[in-house]
Amino acid sequence: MQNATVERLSKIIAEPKQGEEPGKERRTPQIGSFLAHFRLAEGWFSFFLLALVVYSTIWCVQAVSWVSHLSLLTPITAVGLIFGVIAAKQRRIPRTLIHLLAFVLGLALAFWQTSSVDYAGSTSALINNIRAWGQLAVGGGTSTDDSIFLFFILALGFLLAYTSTWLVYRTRSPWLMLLANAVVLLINLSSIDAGYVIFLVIFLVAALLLLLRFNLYESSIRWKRQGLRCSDDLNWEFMQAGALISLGILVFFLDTALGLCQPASFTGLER
Amino acid sequence: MRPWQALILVVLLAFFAISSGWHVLYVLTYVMLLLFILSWFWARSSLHNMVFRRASAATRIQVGEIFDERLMLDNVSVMPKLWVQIADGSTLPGHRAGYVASMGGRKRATWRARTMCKQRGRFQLGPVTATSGDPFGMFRRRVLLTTPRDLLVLPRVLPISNFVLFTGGLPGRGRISRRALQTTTNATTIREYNNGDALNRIHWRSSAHFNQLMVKEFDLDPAMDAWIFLDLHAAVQAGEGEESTEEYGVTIAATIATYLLRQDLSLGVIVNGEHREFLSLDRGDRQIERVLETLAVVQAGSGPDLKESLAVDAFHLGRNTVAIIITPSNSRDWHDGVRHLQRRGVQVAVIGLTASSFDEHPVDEDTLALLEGAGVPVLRVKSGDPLGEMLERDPEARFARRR
Repeated sequence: MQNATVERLSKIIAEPKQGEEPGKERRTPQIGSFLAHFRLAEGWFSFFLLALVVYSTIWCVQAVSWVSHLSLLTPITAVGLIFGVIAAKQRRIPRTLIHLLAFVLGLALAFWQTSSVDYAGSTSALINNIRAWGQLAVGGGTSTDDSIFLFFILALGFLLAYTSTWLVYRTRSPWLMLLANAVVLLINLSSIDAGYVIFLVIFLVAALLLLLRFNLYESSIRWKRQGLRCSDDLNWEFMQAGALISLGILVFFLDTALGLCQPASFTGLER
Repeated sequence: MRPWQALILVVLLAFFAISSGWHVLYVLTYVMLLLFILSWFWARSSLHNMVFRRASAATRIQVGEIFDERLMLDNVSVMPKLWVQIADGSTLPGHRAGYVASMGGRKRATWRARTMCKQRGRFQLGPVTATSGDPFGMFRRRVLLTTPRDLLVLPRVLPISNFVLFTGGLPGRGRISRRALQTTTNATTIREYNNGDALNRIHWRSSAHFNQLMVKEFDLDPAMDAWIFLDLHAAVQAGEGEESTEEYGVTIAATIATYLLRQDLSLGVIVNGEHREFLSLDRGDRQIERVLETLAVVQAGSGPDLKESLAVDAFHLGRNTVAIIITPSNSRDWHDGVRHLQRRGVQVAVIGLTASSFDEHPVDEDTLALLEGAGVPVLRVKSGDPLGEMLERDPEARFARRR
């Protein structure tokens, strides 16, 4: 372990070998700096896990099928996740302005998608419908217009993805992100067949691994700040042990949840 | 997530599970509770049966040397430890002995910490604490592994083979032999045994060779005592860190003291820094240790100034004594003290540290020239000068170089 560390360190600090092609020497840093733009300090695996958490919630919403055209949630969530990462990682635009931007972007995307699928791209028709819905809401009436509901679900889907990314990568509160997604997931899960509990299983696996990965990342930052060296196999063993724990908990979950295949009883939240 | 937050979440989940009767919420509550309990047990057991050892060769080291220590952490239990953070509270500058290990059951993690010692002084190694916790970051536990111990970093001693501050060499180091009546360290010759000679003076090998009793004769020790005055009064110091008059002064004092003591001279040291340090005359390796130990910890401070120090300690110095004053002071007020010593038969030499060169200020008035005029040998040292070479150089060559 010691030798491996010394070897690796010597490789890092060693001068480039003589005899290497000069062109190659010049190109490598360029590629490195180009790739550095796409580097996520927390690792792309953490982003994959975050996306899995958010998508398990979104897929559950789609499975409930509150309105038609909910398949639009998939690309909108992806945009929300990507915009969230960019917003969380950038430091130039102030926090309030970026939230405002996200909100406007979410509404605009939802508006555009809704008008495309429900009104064949006619934005004025959707505006009229929203206006009518507003008047009805103020007047105390009820509306059965699905397009308004779709518009809100799409906007909320975007905002859920954006908020989740922000909570993980900027405010460093993965637990809060999990709580927000869990609430949405449970509300939707209560309205569908028990067989869809698979979304909860995916959510739990991804959530536990994300917590693990994030805790490891935060710890490694702290260790680096304190000038501590780490053993080479720490990352691997950390994730290995965490995965085993997560699997153990899931086995327990599935074992206990065998009786889940029964109709939803959380009727208070039914559509 | 803090443990209390996790606990609140479990309670909330339990509340909703009971109030709704929904099976999924029950299972989620169990999962959270299981995770909570597992994490707690994990954190509790993560630091059990750990043995830590640090093996360093020395408790003292010199500036410029590398302090090398080997640290070992044994997991004597069969349970693996996912991560154990070893934090070392050492005060030695740049010493990073901390480590984060991931260990299997009955495994050992070893690592080395190598630090170039750049600063003299008394430092602390440790305390060493181990921290560990659960993989989800809910619980954390810390234990003290070792208590702190001291490490003394002695000042740098330059390897000089010659030190000639006085033209004609040090006084009292002539070749004149003076017989001693008592036993000294200098056995010089043998003679025939006379009645009344002590039996412990008989040299048995020569007696066997000459076939008659022969006794050893001893010479008096070289009659010279050397005193080093190191001026560390804060008001006259200049520069920072290694490039400061304080560090230059200490290095010069340590080098000269070691050299003179290795020449078997008696040497004493007086330092006027934060406190007045007085090391009485002695010789030998033990005195070298004492001098270096004293110089390792002395700091510039607002103690007595050089004038006062010379006035207070002048009575320790008699004839056949050499006083070497190391000072960055450009003041004239201590010159009277030097002249007073000269009048008493003390050979005085001054090593003047040019303070302006350490602060990159314009050169002040050269007051040391007045002492030179009075016959006091003066060696001027500037920032960046090769100290070893400067001390070894012949005074005539130094004088010629200045001209």
